[in-house]
Amino acid sequence: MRLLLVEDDVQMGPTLQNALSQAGYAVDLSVDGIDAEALGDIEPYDLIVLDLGLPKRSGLEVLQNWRNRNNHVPVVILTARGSWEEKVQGFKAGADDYVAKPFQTEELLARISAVLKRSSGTSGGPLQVAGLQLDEDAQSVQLSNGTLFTLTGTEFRLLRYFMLNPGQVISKSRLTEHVYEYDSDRDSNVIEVYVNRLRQKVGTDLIQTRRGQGYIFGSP
Amino acid sequence: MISLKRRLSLGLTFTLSLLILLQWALITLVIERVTETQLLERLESESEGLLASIEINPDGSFQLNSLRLSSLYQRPFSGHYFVVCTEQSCRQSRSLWDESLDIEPMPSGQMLQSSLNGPNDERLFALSRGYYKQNHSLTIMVAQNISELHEDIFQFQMLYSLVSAIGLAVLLFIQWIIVGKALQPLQRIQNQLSRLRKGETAKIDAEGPAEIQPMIEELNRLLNTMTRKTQRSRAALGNLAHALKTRLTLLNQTAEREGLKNLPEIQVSLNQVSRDMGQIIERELKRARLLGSPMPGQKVELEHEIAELSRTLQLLYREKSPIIDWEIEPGLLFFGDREDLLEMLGNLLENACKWCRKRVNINVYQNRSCCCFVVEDDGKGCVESEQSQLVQRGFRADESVPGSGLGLAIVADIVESYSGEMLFSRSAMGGLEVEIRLPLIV
Repeated sequence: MRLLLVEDDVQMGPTLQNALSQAGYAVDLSVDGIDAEALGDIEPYDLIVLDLGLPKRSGLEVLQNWRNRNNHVPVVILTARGSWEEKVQGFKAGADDYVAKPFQTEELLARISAVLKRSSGTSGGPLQVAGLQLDEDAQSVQLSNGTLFTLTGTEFRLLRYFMLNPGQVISKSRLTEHVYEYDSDRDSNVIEVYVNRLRQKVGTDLIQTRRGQGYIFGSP
Repeated sequence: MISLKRRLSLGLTFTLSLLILLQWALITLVIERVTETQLLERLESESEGLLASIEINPDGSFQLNSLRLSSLYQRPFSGHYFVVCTEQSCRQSRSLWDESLDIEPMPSGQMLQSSLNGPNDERLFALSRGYYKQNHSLTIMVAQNISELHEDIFQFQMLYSLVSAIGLAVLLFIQWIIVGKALQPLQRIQNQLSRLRKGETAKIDAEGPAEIQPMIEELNRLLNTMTRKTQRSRAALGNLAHALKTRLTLLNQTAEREGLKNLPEIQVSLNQVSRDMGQIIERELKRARLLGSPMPGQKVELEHEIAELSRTLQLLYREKSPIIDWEIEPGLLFFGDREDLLEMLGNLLENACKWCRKRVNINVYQNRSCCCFVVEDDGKGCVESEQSQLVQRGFRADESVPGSGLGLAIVADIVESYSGEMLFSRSAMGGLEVEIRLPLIV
């Protein structure tokens, strides 16, 4: 496994590089944003540990540039501010995980191995049914006219289930079973509320009610 | 507070009304005086004419030369009358017919104006004058009906009053418009100030009149300075924290050195110290950068931010993958600092994700007095006795779950800086429900 470590601190960079090498990774060290961005594009790294506070070009910008160029190398960001704003920005820019300073080496190692495991798994393309395009990462849906809606947790699960089973009559109890893993005490009225909210976003025609049977999803 | 517009309007109304009233009174008085003087002059010349037509006999009797008399004195009840008296006898004009007028003998050279009732209830204005002719003293009284004259004057006065009243109304209306126009820039500035307070704008754009423009510029300058200072001190704090935390990480790495492997107690205590210092820096840094009250010109679109936060949390809690639902009025805005909002909701939602079984709800609504955030989960909740301890720094409801115990303490600091309140209760979903109410700036 080959890693790129981007850390500008003259003491911490080499120490961390040493620690990662000991953990069995081949580690390159980069100390500024521009250099790191070029390295990340050229070399086939398995993972990049990226400090956000970098000279010449900020870590966030470097990450955005990689993602804009379709470079999907897994990235763990190191942040010193630990503010939620930075976390949100980091994940939005395409980070896979973050570690807040000060951290212990084992903590960083654990995160790195978790991200590596995850990235070796599958990553399918966007789900497209009946003119809708569901972005499973962003939990958002794009309509055929280009309008983009963010979905709440339940809305996303409902729509994904509908889109995976188009044209089928789906009962409320079946929906409940597949949307909530637990034997929750939610009655089917709650599902109705969420279905109605979903209709407001994707259009009323797409989800039709079959009285007494349930719902059917798809172009009428 | 006295309104400028009211004060100006009242002052102008008072002076204008006074002016119009005075000139009305003056004109009315002058008209009356002029008519009276003219009447008097005419009666005097009539009186002189009569004197010329009188011929007195040596025995004291007299006759009037009727050829020299005006025909007005011949027609009965014409409104023009005279009476002439000597010591012995009196004569009166034919126009008086069978009526008579009271006459006082006057010494020669004296004059008396009087008003008296004539035939047919006419109002007469009379001039009596004493003369001395051909060694006899005589008194001549000439009278004229002034009823019609009075009627004319009265009509003129009514018309004039009406014109004055309309004029006054028009003037007041015009001055009201002028005052309104003159104060319009102030109204615009007032609107801008209220927008500024609500955070809808960052500076005052309205152009004021020359008297007020310097004040606007000064205010804008102050706002600008304040924003810059805040940004600078935030950046400085961030740099400080960054530097310190990097050093602390180094300390951690030093503790992991080969040479220290044999001294586990030193490793543990070094790690402990660096963790404590990290938390102190974290808490104090966040406290220090809290603004106390929102900066002007800041607004955050709530649904967008909460969607982003939820996505971040879903990535952070990927293994658990909690379902985060939100209910927010579309387009609802939060007038305050974006970082404060994210810090507050981020900590609350992280707690909820940490403790929930599967579901987290966030409900944001705004009423007249406050913006309310309700975050709840379906976890096992927290017993009431512990609820008051939740906001204490370092308190951890369950030591087996990793965390710093800082989250809710930071939320409490933020809520306090917005003069809001935070309430804990048991959620209908089973877990903890945290309700935060931040008062709106009116």
